[in-house]
Amino acid sequence: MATATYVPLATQTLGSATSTITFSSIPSGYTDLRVVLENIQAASGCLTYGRINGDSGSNYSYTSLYAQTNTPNTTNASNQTYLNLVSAVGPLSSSPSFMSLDIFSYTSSTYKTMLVNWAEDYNSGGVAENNVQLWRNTSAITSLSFFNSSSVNFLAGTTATLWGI
Amino acid sequence: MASATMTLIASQVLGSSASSVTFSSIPQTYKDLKIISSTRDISSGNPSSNMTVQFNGDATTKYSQTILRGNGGSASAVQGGSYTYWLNYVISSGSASTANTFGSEEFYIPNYISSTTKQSFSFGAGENNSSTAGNQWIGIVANYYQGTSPITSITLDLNGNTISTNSSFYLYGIKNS
Repeated sequence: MATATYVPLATQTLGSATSTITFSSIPSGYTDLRVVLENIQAASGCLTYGRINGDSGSNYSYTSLYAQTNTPNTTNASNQTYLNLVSAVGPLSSSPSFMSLDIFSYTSSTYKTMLVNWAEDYNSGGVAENNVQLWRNTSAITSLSFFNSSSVNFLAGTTATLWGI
Repeated sequence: MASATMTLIASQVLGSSASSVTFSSIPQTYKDLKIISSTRDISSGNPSSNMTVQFNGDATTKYSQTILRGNGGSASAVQGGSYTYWLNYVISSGSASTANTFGSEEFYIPNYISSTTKQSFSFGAGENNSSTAGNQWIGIVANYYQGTSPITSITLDLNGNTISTNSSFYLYGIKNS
């Protein structure tokens, strides 16, 4: 029988407002990781960030492609101190957002690249965004954390799932 | 026990540089295919370079694409047809990019064993910590292939350039039951 290759490692559904969502002690037995944040809501408008292995050094960069209205936009930044997972409109208190984060070869000795899908629509507007993240570190990834700008809390009901692939 | 719905069919992690990678004798027992790759181009002088895809060794003009792309400075879209391959061309970090960085690519190919034409979605990007717009790319691509034979082999290359050691290619089969 074929071996399952898409394995849920951990899931969290917030029971109360929380500033940081963390996956720690990530096992090394997979090729890739996928994180899905769903029903993402925050106490007020903000952007959502992430860090790997607790690294707050200037080792992150990204390039983003997104649309808020009828015109596509793109932006990039280097030497960031966190993963900038959404660059247009982040989570809101009034409508949920969705994010998937694919992390490739997370135990490799090369720098790590990640692809992000971010989607939200609130009837009178929304954002569709894809971006690529780079973490310039050769260590295996053992923990991931997610938090919002300006220390805005994630609201209860936000769900985070970590998959091993 | 539930059956696995996403199964690793084959993988290739390059121990030495190569001009192309081919998955052949692809089993015809899944519904969809998914390819995940991390690649670096060691012959191109550009920070980003292009990945090409062909099916069943078919180099005729059966391939077309619509692409939404961005480079940190400008966003644009392009559509073209009668290609001899799919060009996921925003993708692999080139030899001029930051050391140790690899581009990332995902292809999702539904109904690969059908006797109809094939459509696909792909997403790829190269990011290398450059603050200069144009030294990195991200793209979302709608692909169309007018071949009607089931897909039994897939060849990926960097448009004639050399693929670096440690580049990796994973082919998954996906069932819906």
